Amino acid sequence: MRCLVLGCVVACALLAPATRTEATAPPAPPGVGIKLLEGPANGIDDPRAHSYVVDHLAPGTTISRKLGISNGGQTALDVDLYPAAATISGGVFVVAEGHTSNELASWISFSVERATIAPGETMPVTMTIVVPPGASAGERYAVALAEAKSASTTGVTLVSRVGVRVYLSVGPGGEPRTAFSIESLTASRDPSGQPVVAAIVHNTGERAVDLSGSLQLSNGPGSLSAGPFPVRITATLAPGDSGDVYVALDQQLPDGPWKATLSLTSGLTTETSSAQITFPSGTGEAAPSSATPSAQQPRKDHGRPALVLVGAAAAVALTTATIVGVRRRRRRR
Amino acid sequence: MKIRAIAAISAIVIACAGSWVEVSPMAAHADAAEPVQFDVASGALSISQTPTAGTTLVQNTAVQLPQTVVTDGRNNAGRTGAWTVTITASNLVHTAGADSATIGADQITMDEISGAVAAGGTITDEPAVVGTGALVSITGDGIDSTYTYTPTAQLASQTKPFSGAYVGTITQTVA
Repeated sequence: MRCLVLGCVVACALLAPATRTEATAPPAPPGVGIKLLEGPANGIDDPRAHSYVVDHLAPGTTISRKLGISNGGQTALDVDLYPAAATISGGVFVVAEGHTSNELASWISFSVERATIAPGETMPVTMTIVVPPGASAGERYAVALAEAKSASTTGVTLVSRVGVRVYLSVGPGGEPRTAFSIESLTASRDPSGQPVVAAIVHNTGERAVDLSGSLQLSNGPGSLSAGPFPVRITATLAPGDSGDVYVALDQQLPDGPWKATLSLTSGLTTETSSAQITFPSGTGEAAPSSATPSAQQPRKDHGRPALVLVGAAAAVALTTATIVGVRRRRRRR
Repeated sequence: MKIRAIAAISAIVIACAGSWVEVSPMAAHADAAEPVQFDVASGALSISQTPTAGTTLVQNTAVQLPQTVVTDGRNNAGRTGAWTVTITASNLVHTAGADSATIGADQITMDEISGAVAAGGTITDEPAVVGTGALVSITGDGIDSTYTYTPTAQLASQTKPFSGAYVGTITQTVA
């Protein structure tokens, strides 16, 4: 019996989640701030879903998201909340001027439209998106904005707006695919002599992509390797768009040739391509090199397998204790 | 005795399994289309402009606007975020008087004096813009990365300007 109790205690110790101390909320960052407080469960592994509203909804669907509006200043802040139109142009997510609306912005409303936020406080607000039953399929862009004005009665008034991007795909069934390809890599040196690699990327999928990543150099002079170097200038590309990403490298690097391997990620999708490049000795640009794609790299999920292992270990411990206890009782008889 | 032991063990396992499937320490909640949501742990994106006095535009002079600080607290380990600041000028409207006039926003050129980035992030310094356009963009790859810079606004030379004060807005939007 003692073995049974011990086995149960061990099992529960392994199964029960570690006590999470409710961390003290970090101080509000300076100025007016906004953050997502929640996202859809099927987006928990998507980094974009932790910063933006990224969703795929059927016509006639209504969802809500909680946002936090913060005041990091020393005095109370009057904040207006409203949706506005957004577009993707030239590799940039661009918010429209003022209260300019579009189809998606017209579907968005807030539980509070104007509020006074005390210094250091974060106020929760609910944003609701109502997709009309007759909405056509496709992806749309908007932004949920919090706006604060400087107190100025003369000259120019300064307005600060901070927003959460909304990337909403509408249509029946599953989410449209996200895909992009790295077309070419071009080596160059800027006027200061710094080597730069530029990549042309084409969005071949049906969802916008926010690209980030890194470049690795290998097979260089004397078998040198270098990197990874983070992508310096990233791009947001709408479906069908092409754009450039840039990587700035160390000025100490020799010209090459090098095998350049570029990995770019948007959400859960990663593409890796390689090309042989040689940097020019002086300022200028080498001829573009076609990039050869590697196999697609799925993102690794470190959380769930660990939880499964802990659960399995707990089940084994409990079963073992039960068997040992039963056998000992039989021997005594 | 055996049956009671088995029942006790089953109850304990079921109770522990209930805590095992919880996604976050806060209660899961639902709406009609998406039954379960997760709580975002990362911080906020914010922008701060702190004017010390009123801002007045001067013809053919790049006037420095108050220092701007963009803080990206959304970046947790393993995740990166990106933001872009778009700057927009409104028309400048004459405040009062018989000679009313409006100076169009396309007469104002905006740029920024590059500043410092702390705690990670790579900056794209977009070219100067007239009236409206992207100003800077950053990929934040550090937790609580901040970018401090100073926007500037230059008013083009006005032929036969009307005397008096003009008012307008300059808006910085970060998303």
